[in-house]
Amino acid sequence: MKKLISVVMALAMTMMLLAGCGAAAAGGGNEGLTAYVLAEKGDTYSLGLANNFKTAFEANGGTVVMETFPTNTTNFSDYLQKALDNRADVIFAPNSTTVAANLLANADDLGIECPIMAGDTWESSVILDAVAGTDLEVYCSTFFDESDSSSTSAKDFVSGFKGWLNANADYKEMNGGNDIVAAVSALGFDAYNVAMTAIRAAAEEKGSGLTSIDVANALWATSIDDAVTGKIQFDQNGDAIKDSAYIKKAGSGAFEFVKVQTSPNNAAQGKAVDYGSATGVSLDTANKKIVIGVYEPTSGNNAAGGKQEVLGIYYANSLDDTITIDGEDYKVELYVSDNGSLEENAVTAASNIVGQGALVSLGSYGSGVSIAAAQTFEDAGIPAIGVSCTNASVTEGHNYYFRTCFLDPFQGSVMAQFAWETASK
Amino acid sequence: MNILSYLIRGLATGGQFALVAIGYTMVYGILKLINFAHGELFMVSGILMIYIVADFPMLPIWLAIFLMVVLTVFIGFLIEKFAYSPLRSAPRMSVMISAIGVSYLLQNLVSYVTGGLSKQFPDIPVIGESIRIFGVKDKLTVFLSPVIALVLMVILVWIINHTKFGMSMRAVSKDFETSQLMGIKINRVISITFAIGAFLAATGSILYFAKNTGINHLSGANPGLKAFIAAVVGGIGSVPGAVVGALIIGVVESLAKAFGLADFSDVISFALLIIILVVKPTGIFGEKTTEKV
Repeated sequence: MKKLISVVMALAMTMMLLAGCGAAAAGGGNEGLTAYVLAEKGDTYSLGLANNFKTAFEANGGTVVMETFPTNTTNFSDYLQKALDNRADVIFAPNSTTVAANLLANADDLGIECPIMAGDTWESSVILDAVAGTDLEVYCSTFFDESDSSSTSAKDFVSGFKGWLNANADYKEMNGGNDIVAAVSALGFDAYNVAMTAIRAAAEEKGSGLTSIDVANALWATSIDDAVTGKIQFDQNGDAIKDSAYIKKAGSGAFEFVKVQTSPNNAAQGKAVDYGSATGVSLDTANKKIVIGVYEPTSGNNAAGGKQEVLGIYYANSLDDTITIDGEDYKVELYVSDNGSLEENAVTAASNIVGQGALVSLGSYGSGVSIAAAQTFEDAGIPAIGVSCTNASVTEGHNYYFRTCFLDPFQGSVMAQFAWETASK
Repeated sequence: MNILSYLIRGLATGGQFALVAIGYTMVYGILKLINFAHGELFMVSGILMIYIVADFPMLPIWLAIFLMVVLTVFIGFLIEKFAYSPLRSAPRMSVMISAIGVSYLLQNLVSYVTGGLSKQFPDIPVIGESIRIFGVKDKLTVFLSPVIALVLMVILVWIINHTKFGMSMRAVSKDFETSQLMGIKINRVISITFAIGAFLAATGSILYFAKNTGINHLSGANPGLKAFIAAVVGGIGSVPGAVVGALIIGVVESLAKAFGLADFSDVISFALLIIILVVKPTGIFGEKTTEKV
């Protein structure tokens, strides 16, 4: 009897606590369009993008119900029930593919009918597997589409990359066992070529006396018109100046191109910053080699995307791996350092790249790990070119960090615009 | 707002945690050991199921499930034999550290095998079907989980209180040496206890992953932690306590989300743990023990 009383008391106390605190928070608006936004606690990418979407969607006059869930959550039914309770017209869930695998399965169980949207991370075979055999309507924004034939460089890249993947079973396995060209592979390819262009420009000027600081200086002036993902030029923050994103829908077995969503970007090319007395890393004239660091997650939550990014870089290296400086050929070698998708590994993984004498580093997939490594690269005087890290803080205040992709504020507003258009129909 | 749907899903999550919590509580009852590897065993059994179904597609699903349960029980048995049994006379802290070691070993092994990628649990017929009960649409496993947890609890309580083996379990939990003097093979009793715990973890994993189908090497961490809290809230060492504790945790977390406190659902579980420990340090069903000096 005593036990029963304590059980009832514990339940009653909790209910009172919940009712007291929850009354104010409960209930959602029904005027206009409603978006339900779900982000992961402590995940820089997820929270950043979710907040950017929220701001843009509310600016359109919509209502946003936003919630966060703790890391390692596997059951999302209660969150999705919240979306149903609020009669959401669209769900925006910019999370890792590990989260998505469960989230989408739960959404199917609950019979969610409204569109579910996310950012670039969801362009993955994990999402296609999760959507297979369901009626879910799933969209993501991304940097590139393999069926985009508007430029010859994109066309050449797609056919070349597919051939290269199919010729090597290990690489194909790394790509998820298929030859679908992920947008992050295209970005990785571009990032490598940007680095090569900058090293060549620095070598032109400094000869064999070149250092990583010269490469950083050259990056500010770099401009590639025919890059695979469109023109690449860096603004004063070190961000590529982008004005469009590709929207794709997860279909049966492949992503279907939906539309190009544009949003004006009036930024101008940035001017080189003063790196002061930083010495950086010198060219390895003794071994006649140039090391390019590849700072990517090849394990952990973001391993799938990280590996695809590495593949784009490998492919670019297979096409162009020699730079001639003062009449001598220098071999370009890649050094891949796994950050395990975890911020606590960032400094160690970045330090390994520094230890290898890299002139420049590429990556990472994932904003949190990139931000966490920024100071290490800065201390060593090595420029880093982010490939698909979209959080604004990656380059803000980090003069050595550049990136080839668009940013979360841009991506968030593009997706909010698309969500608005889709839900209004 | 449809409170009923949150209640039902809360009970379901609670039921699934309950099966894991019983494993914690039984091992604690006998060895006074918090088996931190138990959540990982739960995850490993899910991963085993994926690989069995993928590698032997000709096997009927019931045979695959049977094979998975047998393998999980075997792994539970091996863990006890190699990681805990040699430390029988060592201080309790050493065994606990060994348990943490096993937990990391299992996580890393699975991470190595899967490449850290999330794998999809196969479709389980019947319990994986979507149905609508009381206006709540979800998989059958959601509605079945609390019922199965309660049935298994009743069977276990019966075994513990009314069979010869149950009596030897109770004896071993009271005093190793005296039980040995009475002719009880304590190693056998401990091994079987681990096997029962592993069996429950395997059952829980089918119910849980049939609903939450993405599994990676970290998938056992959260259910493991919640089940541990449930076992402590219910009174560690008590089987009904573990089940009641798990159902409370499940419902409370679900209701927290219903009332717009999703951000605090973990905080509320832990706060509940603290409140229970302050009000009744031995947990809801815990017995007050007096130790003679």
